[in-house]
Amino acid sequence: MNLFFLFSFINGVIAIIFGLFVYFKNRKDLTNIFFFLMNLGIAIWSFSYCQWLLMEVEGNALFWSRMLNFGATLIPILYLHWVFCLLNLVKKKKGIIITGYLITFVFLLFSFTPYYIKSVEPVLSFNYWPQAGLLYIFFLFLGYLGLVGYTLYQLFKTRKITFGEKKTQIDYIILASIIGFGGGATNFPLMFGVTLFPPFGQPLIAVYVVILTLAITRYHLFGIRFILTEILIGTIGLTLAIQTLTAPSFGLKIFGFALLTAFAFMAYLLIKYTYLEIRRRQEIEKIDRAKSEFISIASHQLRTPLTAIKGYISMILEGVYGKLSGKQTKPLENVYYSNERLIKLVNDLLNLSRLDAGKIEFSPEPTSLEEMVSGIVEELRINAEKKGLYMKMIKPSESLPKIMADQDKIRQVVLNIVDNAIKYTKEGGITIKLEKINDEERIRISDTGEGMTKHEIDSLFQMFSRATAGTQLHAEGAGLGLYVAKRFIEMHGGKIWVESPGKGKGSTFIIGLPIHLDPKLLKAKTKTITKQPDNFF
Amino acid sequence: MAKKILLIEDEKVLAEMYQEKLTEAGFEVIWTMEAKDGLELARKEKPDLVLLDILLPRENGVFFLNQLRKDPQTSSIPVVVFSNYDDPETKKKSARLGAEEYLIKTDYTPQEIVEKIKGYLK
Repeated sequence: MNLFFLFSFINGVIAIIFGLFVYFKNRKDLTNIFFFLMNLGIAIWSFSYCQWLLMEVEGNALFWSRMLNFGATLIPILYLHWVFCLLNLVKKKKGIIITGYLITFVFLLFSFTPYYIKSVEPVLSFNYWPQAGLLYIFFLFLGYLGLVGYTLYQLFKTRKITFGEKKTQIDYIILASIIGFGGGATNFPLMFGVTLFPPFGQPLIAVYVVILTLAITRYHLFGIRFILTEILIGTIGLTLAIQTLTAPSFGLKIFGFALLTAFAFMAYLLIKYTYLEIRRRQEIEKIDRAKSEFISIASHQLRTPLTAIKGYISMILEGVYGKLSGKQTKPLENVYYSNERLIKLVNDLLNLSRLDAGKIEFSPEPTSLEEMVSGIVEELRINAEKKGLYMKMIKPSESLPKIMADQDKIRQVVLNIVDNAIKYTKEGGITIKLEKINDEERIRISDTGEGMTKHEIDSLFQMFSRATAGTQLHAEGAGLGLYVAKRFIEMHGGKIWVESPGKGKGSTFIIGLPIHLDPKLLKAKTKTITKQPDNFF
Repeated sequence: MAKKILLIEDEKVLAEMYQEKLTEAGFEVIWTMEAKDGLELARKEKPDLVLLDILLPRENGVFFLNQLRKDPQTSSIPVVVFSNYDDPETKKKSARLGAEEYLIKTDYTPQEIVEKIKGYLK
């Protein structure tokens, strides 16, 4: 017995067990049926491989080598059919499937003739390695490369328009396919007398089956790690057991047994702790996911009625439903601005939940702060003027260079601060100044409003914090905006702070952004939320 | 002749509101709640622009965009996505599938959306 025998045997057993496991999960599901059939092909290949390795007579070895190739020939078309079931492509790609079966049928018809496998020859450590006949070359190109390649192409294509869990599932299938069929392909060169490397097909196909099973039974990534740990431990254990049993002397047998016992004990501990760790992490992830999903769905659901209120009120104010009397305008405007506050709160909560979950995207691009700030000033000027406030922008004498910044986030921060400045200033106005200081571009937003004490300044950027002005009746907001702003600026490696000479003397918010973004910040780009609605595939 | 807008929106209240505003702004509006019906209407009616929501019953807005781009009859129709589903990955996919813009509905009044549409139809 050698390792190839061992791997083939394990491979066949794994293929049968996992195939049956998936099949019995839902016997009516075509995807499960074809997964089982594909695994049956793998099992025929693997068990015939075991038989073939045991053969000592050339004729018998030839028969079993043809038998194993019979199994191998079945795999690509059953793989294609299974993947097409999974991707709902069966109806659309009926022609391809039928053609695939016809080609496979022709190969199977010839699989026990010299046209397919012409002979067996000694290759590397194998006494009887099968040698490819003429038709086998066609199988390699049409069956193996053609069918498998086309299936992979469809997987990649579907992946592009797929989201969330289904996308992860496709990723696993692609990974497994590359490992499995890549490994399987290492058997072929030897069939043409090319002996550059040994055949890795058997162990890698076992990995292929395990990953695919996990992918379609929707196990979590940690589940895969757990199974892979078990496979690794099992393989080492079996190797040690074989070495112990076949050891040439009694002393070595005793040594091997002691080693095996120690290994078994450590393996038990490793599996136990891996399992506990996985469970713990799964629990944490479950809570995290539930939280993110709740916020994401809740904010979407909240936004729908807010959109309707905003839309209809704005249309009433525009006079779409007739001219308003002076008395009607003010209350409607109040409803409109109250609704805007709610919209802002929902946005802040959504941002906050994403920031806390580390799932907010950072997409820096060349940005002209000058252009961005001018746009914001123009946008908010009307609000300032309505309150009788001035709005002034002081540009630098020399144009500032573009910097790498996430435009949406910086815009949101500046908009938020200028908007607050308008809200908290009763008379005077707001001055926005752009300047370059050393390696930094700064935006200074000064107002002639309430001003702040030192204590207020210290706690301003904390969550749910508002300065005294913000606790008065006319002030708005939950105190989340500045906290989110700080986090956004820090994402850029920049800083945000506030200066105020004291109560009644106004305040100045300063945003400093580095001209050259630290490349580490780009590498540390956080994940995006992948949660998608259920109908996304 | 009035420009034709295909509105794909499953929230009845919002659909009525946008339909009203767009009609008032001089557009001809065709409305559907589902992506598949939308594809059929796009082929049949050849709209000048599609205003597309993302979260729809059964097939979603990304599916619609993907199918629309595949069909040579409809592949060049401009699409403006508008949704309250604020997801970076969905935004990227929409951009990759040629959506002109991905608007968050709560950030825009119907009038502002009309202005955006006018800009794209110039």
